[in-house]
Amino acid sequence: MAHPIHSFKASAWLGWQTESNWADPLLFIIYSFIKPISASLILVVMYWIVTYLSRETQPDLFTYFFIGNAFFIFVMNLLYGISWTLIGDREWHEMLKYIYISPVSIFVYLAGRGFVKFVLSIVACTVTLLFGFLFLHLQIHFNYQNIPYFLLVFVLGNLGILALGLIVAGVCLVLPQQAFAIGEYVGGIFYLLSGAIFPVEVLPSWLQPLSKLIPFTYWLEGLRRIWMGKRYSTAFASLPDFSIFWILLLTTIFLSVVAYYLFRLFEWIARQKGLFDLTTGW
Amino acid sequence: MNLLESLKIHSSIELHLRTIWARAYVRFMATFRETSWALVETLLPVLGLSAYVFIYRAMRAAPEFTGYVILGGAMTAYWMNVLWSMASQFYWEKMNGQLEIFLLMPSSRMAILLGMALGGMFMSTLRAGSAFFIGLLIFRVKFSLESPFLFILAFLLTLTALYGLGMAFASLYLLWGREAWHLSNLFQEPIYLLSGFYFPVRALGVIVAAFASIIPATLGLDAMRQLMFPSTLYPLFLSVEYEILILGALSILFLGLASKALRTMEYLGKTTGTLSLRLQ
Repeated sequence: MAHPIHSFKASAWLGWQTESNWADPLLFIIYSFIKPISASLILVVMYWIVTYLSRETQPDLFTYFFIGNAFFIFVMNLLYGISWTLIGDREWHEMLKYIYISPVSIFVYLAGRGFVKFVLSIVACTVTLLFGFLFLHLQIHFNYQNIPYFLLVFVLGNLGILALGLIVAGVCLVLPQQAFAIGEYVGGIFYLLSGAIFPVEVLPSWLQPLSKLIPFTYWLEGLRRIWMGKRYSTAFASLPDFSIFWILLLTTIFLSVVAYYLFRLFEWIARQKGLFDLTTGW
Repeated sequence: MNLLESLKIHSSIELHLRTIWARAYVRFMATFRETSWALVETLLPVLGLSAYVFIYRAMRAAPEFTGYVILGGAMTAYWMNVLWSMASQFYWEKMNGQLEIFLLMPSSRMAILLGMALGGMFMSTLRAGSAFFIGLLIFRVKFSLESPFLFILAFLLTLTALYGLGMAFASLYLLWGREAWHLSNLFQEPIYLLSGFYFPVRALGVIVAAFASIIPATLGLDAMRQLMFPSTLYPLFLSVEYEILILGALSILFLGLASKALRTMEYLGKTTGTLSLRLQ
């Protein structure tokens, strides 16, 4: 096996080259900005219409969904990015089989490719938050003493996303026909269930327990508390910060273990069915 | 017209129809190849758009906004299909080494694109239809369709113009090469915003709405919303009749543009020798 750090660096570099498609870096960064800002502006216009009609503003709700949406960029990018890595390597570049026979761990390879998405997501999230803060009067009350706690919660959440991305990538291996849409749909489900843009208590009562099983719900709740400086969602109002952290930690560990074994299982199925060099081409 | 000429015309029509069917067939079959389609193509799209319904509920918006989201959310299936399976398709075919085979075929390139469009419409209709009907059912959306004929006309013209735009893009994307990926990415959320997929486009102001009308989904959605929710609270963009007329004009414009762009693309590709270049 090649040294994991070397493999990671090589796959991250490859990731940058394929992500940017050898485009002009400046042009590529502009692309990367417009997308998340537009996604946030959709919500801003929705909010603006409702407040225009009802003549009633809800600044806390506005800040709540804006922050959730900004951090959800990591979920969409990493989740989608890792599954697309496998699809792209199999379908278009037809390199997946060569990656598997090279002395590189597939997990290190996917982590390296995901790292580029992670860096791009940091840029997109920062730009979105800055845009909200400067132009939309976002009510941010960030206490600088919380920086270590923020970093801990932030990294834990991203490890969870990476684990989920691994599961989705595994599913893409065995469902080649649906692979193109599945990352987006799974992202959509988590967008709904984690209450990325609305408080969980708005969900029907039968969906709320499901929402409380997902690590991203706690991740977003933790991040919002840090950035808003208060608890907004009544569903978690009684939950102290350390409980949010521990639940996030335990669910992330659980998800990571499940992701490892599920990915291995899907890999095994793909080998049995000879799906590693399949191209659909429809 | 002598017998030979009429036979030639007949065989040419048959060839084109067979080409359309052959290209569409791949997509019809691909839709049901895996049994997972029943879940992936029906339930998952509804879950995805539900988040926008709940944010409107959290804001205590009027009930018709739920209907706006469901209609717009369902229509995203067509826009995604236009971007990723129409506009980018010739580029993917080039990457797979199939484009040369298409160009060697005796039938017209427009027949291939038309087949692709029909197959794509079928795939997307399954996804959009399920999202629309299941969404209406789950969220108990009340609407009154006073003129079903105008609604169907607006819908069909929107699809024709959208896929016409996709056909025109297919040639341009082929010339732009690897930038195709970025363009399709770039045309997602910004277009959802500009075309008002989740809110009435009039909210962006008349000038922006007029500019966004070049994307057929803008006028199509506005027309269909007016027909489904006649007592809407928010001012809509243009009257349905004007929107249908403009959609008709856009359909003709984009189909004509697609035909011209195809010829130009083929000529440029042949003279620069880029038609068979992969991964560029």
